[in-house]
Amino acid sequence: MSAILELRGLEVEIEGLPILRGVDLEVRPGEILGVVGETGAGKSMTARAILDLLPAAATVSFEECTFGGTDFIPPRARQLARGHQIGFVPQRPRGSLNPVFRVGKQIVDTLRRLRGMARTQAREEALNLLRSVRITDPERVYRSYPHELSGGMCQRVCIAIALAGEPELIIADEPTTGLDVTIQAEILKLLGEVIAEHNAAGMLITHDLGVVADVCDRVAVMYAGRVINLGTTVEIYREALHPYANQLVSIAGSLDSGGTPQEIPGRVPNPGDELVACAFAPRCFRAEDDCYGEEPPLVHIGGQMAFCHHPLTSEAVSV
Amino acid sequence: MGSYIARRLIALVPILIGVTMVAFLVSRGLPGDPARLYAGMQASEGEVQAIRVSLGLDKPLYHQYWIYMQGLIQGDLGFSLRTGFPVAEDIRNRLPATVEMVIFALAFALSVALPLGVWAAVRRGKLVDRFSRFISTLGVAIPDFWAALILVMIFFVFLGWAPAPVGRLDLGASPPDGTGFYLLDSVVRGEWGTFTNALGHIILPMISLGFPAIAPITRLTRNATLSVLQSDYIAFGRASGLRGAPLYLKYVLRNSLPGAITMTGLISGYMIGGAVLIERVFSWPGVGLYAYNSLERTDHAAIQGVVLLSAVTYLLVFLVVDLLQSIVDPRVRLK
Ligand SMILES: Nc1ncnc2c1ncn2[C@@H]1O[C@H](COP(=O)(O)OP(=O)(O)OP(=O)(O)O)[C@@H](O)[C@H]1O
Ligand code: SF4
Ligand SMILES: [Mg+2]
Repeated sequence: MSAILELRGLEVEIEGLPILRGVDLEVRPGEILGVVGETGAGKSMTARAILDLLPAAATVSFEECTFGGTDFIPPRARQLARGHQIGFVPQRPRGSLNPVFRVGKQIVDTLRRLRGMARTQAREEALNLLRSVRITDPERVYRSYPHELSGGMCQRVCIAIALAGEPELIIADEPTTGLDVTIQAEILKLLGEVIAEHNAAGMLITHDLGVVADVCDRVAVMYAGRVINLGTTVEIYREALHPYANQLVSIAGSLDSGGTPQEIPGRVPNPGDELVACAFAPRCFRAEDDCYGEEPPLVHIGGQMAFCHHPLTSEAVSV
Repeated sequence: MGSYIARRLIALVPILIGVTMVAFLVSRGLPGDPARLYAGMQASEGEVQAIRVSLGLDKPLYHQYWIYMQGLIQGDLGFSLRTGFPVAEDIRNRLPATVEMVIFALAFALSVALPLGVWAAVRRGKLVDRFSRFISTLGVAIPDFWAALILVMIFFVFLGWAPAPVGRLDLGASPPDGTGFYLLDSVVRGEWGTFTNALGHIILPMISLGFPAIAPITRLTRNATLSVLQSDYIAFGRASGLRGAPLYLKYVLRNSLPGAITMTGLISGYMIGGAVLIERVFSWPGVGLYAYNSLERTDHAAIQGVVLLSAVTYLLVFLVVDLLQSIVDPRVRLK
């Protein structure tokens, strides 16, 4: 299956510090790809690089970047994709809507901009979009200012705006942080549903592995500016090849079953820290000398790929 | 909003009574004897005294104030000894000239300062930003009447592009009938010759009066825009394809406006009362020039009238500022 978005060797530097050190991932048509990893791993930076929304001080380079077959390396191509090919769902929905304009106006402006609609037509479509994100009283929400709405309602509006340009891919960066737990589940379910209804694909950034298990088809695990393990959700949960991914999953699992919160021993490296060949080696229970001296090779097993000298193959796991 | 405005206007009454007292005392405290100035230097002491009595200047101050207030309640601001007309009529005849100039000056200042402020923030530290800081320094360093003189030197004396600084129209041209706002009146009546004539005359006063206002409005807009650009809603707007003029001049600027609105209010209040020197340079027949001439002649009623006018203007401007703030940002509540 050919990918809709394909990234190879994405590197980002800010003021000389390497933030992303060669990110490889692909999103396939119709799927939702989860992107997980501890804080600072570079999840948001990856999303921002795809939309050319990095901080001004950043320099970016790709080995390869294509979207639906078109070259996405020129920044202009990525800028023009905003809203059109790629819809974005933000992290803090209440702050992400412009406080001085009514919600309806913001959606109408988006429709006029992205789809060249006339005002009356855009109004109708805006109400349809509000209905499509399961808002039961679209007329009222249309007339409201953002501060008159709840966080969950604002996120529905943001999703409506993300859908306005009929994108082929929706990128959501921690779309439920800051929302009530009950609302979080609703929003995630909604996101999954609208992505399917619009025949789009999704890229869902989160550090909640429970969320990933519920909505994602495949998972990319990031560590220190790289995707170090990628596979189907089932594979990553049952038999992740990479020791880091494996530990993340088992910690999440023990939390779910009421265990005490655990952490992987050691510290996440910061950009600019001296790194050994495998950035995870200082924290890795399987590390050996080669992990310090040689770049970990890319291993493919089943649908998974991982960068590791000593991947946890099923035999190894059973040891 | 209607009842809010009504409440605000009622609250102004005690303030205005205070202002009348201050205006009254200030005009009485000025050096110079209006009766003597009115009677002329040749008049005998007896004649002057007779005038003093006829003007009521021999009465105790509280009594004079009482007479003044009785007139004021009926809308009577008294007579100007200098012009011989009722002060209310004098002001009514001169106010449009000043207001027209102030509106043009503000429009000029805002049309430069708002985009420049946003642009300087977007291109922070770059050439535009430094240019805006240069303009700001210039605006602070050069007093407005000084700018006016320089502009007259360059554009009238040397280049001959601007008309002579002799008022609102060329000498001999007759003003259009109507409200006293010449540009408006001439458009309404289709008198295009008068319109271009008046437009030519207002340009230099507009720039001189507006230029010093550019600096503070630009700076406030720039600083507000810097934080707006960091906001989540602008990040999300960009991610949703918003860019260019709609992004900056609508979604960003609207959020950067509150500071600029307050500042513009302060400046416009100041301009209405304080355009004195500009009006002198351009012989602009406005309220400022009237105030200046009245002061020279210790013209009590006229001075009181102008002080009262400035106070009312300031207070109304503050009301308008608050209303605008609530229109620009729906989170601002009027109470
Ligand atoms: N504006 C910036 N300038 C410099 N460094 C930055 C900037 N923003 C983020 N970083 C650094 O880039 C790295 C990656 O950040 P990123 O926001 O992508 O992490 P993340 O995986 O999204 O983490 P989180 O789960 O906390 O959102 C972090 O080490 C962070 O400190
Ligand atoms: S390469 Fe070595 S150190 Fe790195 S994750 Fe694999 S086993 Fe651990
Ligand atoms: Mg993040």
